[in-house]
Amino acid sequence: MKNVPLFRHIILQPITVCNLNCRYCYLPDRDKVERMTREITDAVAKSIEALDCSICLVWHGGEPLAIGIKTFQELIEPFRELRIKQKIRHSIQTNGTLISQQWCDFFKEEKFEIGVSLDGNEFQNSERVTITGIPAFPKIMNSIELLKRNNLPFSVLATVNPKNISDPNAFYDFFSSLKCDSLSINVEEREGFNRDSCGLKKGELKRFWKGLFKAWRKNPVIKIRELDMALGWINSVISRGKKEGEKKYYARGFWPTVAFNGDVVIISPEFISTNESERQQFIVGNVIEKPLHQIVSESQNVWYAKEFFAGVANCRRICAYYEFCGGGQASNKYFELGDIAGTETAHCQNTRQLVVDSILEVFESIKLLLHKQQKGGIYARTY
Amino acid sequence: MQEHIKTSSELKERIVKVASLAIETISSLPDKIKPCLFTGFGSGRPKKRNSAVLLGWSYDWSDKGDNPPPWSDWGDKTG
Repeated sequence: MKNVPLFRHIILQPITVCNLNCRYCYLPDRDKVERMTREITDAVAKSIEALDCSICLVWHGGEPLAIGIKTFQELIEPFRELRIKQKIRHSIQTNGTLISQQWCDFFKEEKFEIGVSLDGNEFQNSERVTITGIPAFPKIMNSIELLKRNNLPFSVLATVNPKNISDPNAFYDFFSSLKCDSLSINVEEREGFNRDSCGLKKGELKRFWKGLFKAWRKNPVIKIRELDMALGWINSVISRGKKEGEKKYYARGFWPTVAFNGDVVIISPEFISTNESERQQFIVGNVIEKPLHQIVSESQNVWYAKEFFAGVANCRRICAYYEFCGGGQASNKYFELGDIAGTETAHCQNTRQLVVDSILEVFESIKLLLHKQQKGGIYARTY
Repeated sequence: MQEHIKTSSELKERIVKVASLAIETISSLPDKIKPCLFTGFGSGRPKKRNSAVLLGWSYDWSDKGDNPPPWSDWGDKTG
């Protein structure tokens, strides 16, 4: 019988510290230096060897590069054979301030997929600063130039915050000229250590998404995760037409996250980023004591998994956007609502519902304009 | 500004009303950024070369011959 686990991705936290102090960061231990050891990656690799599928390892942090290249090389050593056999692939999310030629050589050799965190142009990125308040932008741009010189493709993960929300055109112009492979957009939210809402208003966000969609539609040169997902879903609704009702799918993976010390949480990586006492309730095992796939398999009925799936069932019952969204994020339900079994969160509204609504409103306004033009005898397409 | 949508069928009706524009927009996109038809969570959308997980997109479950599992790899927002 095949040994197929309840996950296809493992998130690894090689180090807790980060050299940046972004205003909206949700990581409580980003000033502490706790390093993953080879013992932990040996255990994870051993667990993967027993599986009959391929796994993506997502190196996250803290800032993963802050561990230093020699230690990182040592950490990934147990995965080398697995990578060659295509049983794993590496992916890394970095703040982009520590990339050197040595790192580029390493990424190339180990075939890393690279994600850089960046919020836009110099002004728009100004929430991302060092511990002493120095803007990170120049270092990030130097790193990106280095990646480009090395022909290393990269994606960008941007956070919508008060500095970039009001100018989606400049935001899109910047990323479209950056030549990143693709762009993903999170919206600043109340999570982990960042429990103060930054006060992004729904109206502002809708203007952002509409502006971004219009700018992208005029010059569609990069993939934007949120637009891609929403348009893909809109397309599927149109293709199905009236033939069938709600698609009867949805269940989600368990997304195990392995902390620097081997502790494992499931479902939301953000649960590893709670404070010490809070974190304990989410830990479902340690990779030193048990194989990872066994930990995940045995944790299907832990309290927060049960609550989360009950919440998803409620989302399905009450939310118009469920088919697109799939039931929200456990960490947002916990941090925002204080209830993992809850339903709608700001994340659902800001990065799912508003995206679909904004796209539809843009289409509706174009349709109206076309209608007026046709009525007035003007047929030229000006949109 | 539209009122907040209350039901799934209201939302789908709105989508169907702008279907021609949506299709035109999607079909005019360059292939490399054309969105995949959303066929369900974890149901094997085409493999993206880079940072699939960071972007929260699905990837090809058939790459090692295993069957698509009945859950999503498309729900994360790691960042």
